[in-house]
Amino acid sequence: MSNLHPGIILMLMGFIAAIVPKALRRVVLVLGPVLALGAMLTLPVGTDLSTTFMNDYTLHYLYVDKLAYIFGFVFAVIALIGGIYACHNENRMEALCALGYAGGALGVTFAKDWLTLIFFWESMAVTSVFLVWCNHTPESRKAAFRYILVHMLGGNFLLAGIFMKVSQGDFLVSNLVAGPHDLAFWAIFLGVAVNTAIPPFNGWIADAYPESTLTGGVFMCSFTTKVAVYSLIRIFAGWDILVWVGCFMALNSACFAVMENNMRKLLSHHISSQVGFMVAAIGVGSALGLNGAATLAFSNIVYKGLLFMCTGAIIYATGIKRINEIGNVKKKLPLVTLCFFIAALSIGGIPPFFGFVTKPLAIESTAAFSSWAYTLLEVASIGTFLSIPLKMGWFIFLRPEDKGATVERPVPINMQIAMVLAAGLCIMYGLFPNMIYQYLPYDMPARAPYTASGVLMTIEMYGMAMIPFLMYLPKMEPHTAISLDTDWFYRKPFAYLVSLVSHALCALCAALGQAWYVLYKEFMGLTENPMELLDARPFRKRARYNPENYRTSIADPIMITLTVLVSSAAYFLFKL
Amino acid sequence: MDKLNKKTLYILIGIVMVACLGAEMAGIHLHQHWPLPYGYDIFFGFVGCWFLIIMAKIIMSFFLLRPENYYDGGEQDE
Repeated sequence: MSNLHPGIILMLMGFIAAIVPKALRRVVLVLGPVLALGAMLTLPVGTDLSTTFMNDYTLHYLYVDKLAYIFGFVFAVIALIGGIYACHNENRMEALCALGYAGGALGVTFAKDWLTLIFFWESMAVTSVFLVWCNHTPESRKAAFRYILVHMLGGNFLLAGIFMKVSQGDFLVSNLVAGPHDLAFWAIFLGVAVNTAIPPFNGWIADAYPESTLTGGVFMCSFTTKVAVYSLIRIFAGWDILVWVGCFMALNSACFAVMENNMRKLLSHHISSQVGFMVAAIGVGSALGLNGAATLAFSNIVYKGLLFMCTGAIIYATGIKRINEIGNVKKKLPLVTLCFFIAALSIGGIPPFFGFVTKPLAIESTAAFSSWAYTLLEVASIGTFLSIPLKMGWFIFLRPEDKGATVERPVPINMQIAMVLAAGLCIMYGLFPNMIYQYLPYDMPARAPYTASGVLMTIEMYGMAMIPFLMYLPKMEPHTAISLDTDWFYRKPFAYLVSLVSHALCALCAALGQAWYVLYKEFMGLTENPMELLDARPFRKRARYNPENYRTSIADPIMITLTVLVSSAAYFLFKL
Repeated sequence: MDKLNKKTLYILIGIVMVACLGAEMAGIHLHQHWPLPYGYDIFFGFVGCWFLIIMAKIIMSFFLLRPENYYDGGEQDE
């Protein structure tokens, strides 16, 4: 048993990684997550550590219940796999921020009070932006700037809501659905919604993630949205609006994924789609729904991380990031191909892989709420199968023409090890679902996923979904284009508005400057000869001040003196 | 994918679907939540996939796809 905070261990190791030489940094990138995972595994459920902060405020910085445990565990695992994947990387800042970001995610997970939560929440935003910035391209600079603006907006909403809560005397993170839906409730919801990528706040995800570094993308796809899902479970479980929000997210983002051409952008849209399943299940709020959301988040972190690793390896090796510029990767990168299909079939919910044992929990939970919600999520899950195993699988890996793509540099061994580890987890949890079911945070009846009806339904639905794909195959290849998402609103009309306001302000500034100049000139004209003011004639042309013009003659004082002298003399003479 | 491979795949999927339908009729009940006719998921998979293709590749593509340099004019790189 230990009382060490896994998140703080990761943050400290991040600082160490930033200062040690290159050779040692590789060790630290792996050692940090290993230590964090070790600390995590030795934390018993029920741990509640606190410290006193300003004004005797108690910070509950390490609180472990079953929900925190399952999320903390998977965050530590993916930090380790991501650390291995990134350990060929020489960038100090990226190492610092990757470990700090993972530490922030663990910090939010174990936070029991609002102030601890907001501290680690903001630290995640600050560290993750550097994973985009470190790509050092003009696009990544711009995308990172938009990313930090959106997340600061969300963070400020959350901070405002938390201040209101704390001022009301509510210090501990708790479910707010049953309480008043006041300003604090909505501010906290908006803050969490930004990170969950709930529309209309979903644009940042497909804007920033594809521009991140290849190694940073693995961390990014695992933490921000999943930490937000964790927070939704804690704070908004059972809020029925979320069911429809989740259905819309799942379906809308699945359609974007079907359209998309950029590999990592497609996967980013798909994060939003998968998070939609989780949001819908959280909205249901039953034990099945919340367990479904938690386990789907767990599995999604593993196989979505693996998908990002595979596409990262392809981009690293070939330099190509568009689907329509590549093909036949199975011949060039067989290990990447194998790992990709394990992840793709996992995310598609195909037995015996990981997704098959987690996704049905989330979808089935909505059946008790509404048959429409259930149906919409089933359609969205067909979208997952269509966009990743079928579309990406065929066009990137299986089609015979390679479009001239060549492997320019081999995939580093550490990247291969990380991919194999994640693929192993996808198979292991798929084959032995009790390894995940034993950690379910909420009590529910025992579940056996491998039933004849479950497997048959999967074969029928996804098998038949292949027919339209094959029929439409000649037109399924994506075009060299981008798709407009909700980020359009702040990249075009809002940017135009900002530009308009800024031009208007500049024009106003220039006009005020001109007016000031005229005033100044007039004032100077008035004041350059104060004597003129004594006999002011406003429209007369004024002359500059010349003292000679106003100097009196010497005769005047002589005359006055003589007059006074003569008068005085006469007075005294006549008086005497 | 050439036509021969496609045809083979169609036949293969067709055989699998017939087998699934047979299994359903033999007594494997698919939906515990509400009663649905045999082969509902076969129909659902087919229609659902076409819905997504039409929605994404035809309707949304028409309205939302733009050239890759679409945003280039509107932003300044410092």
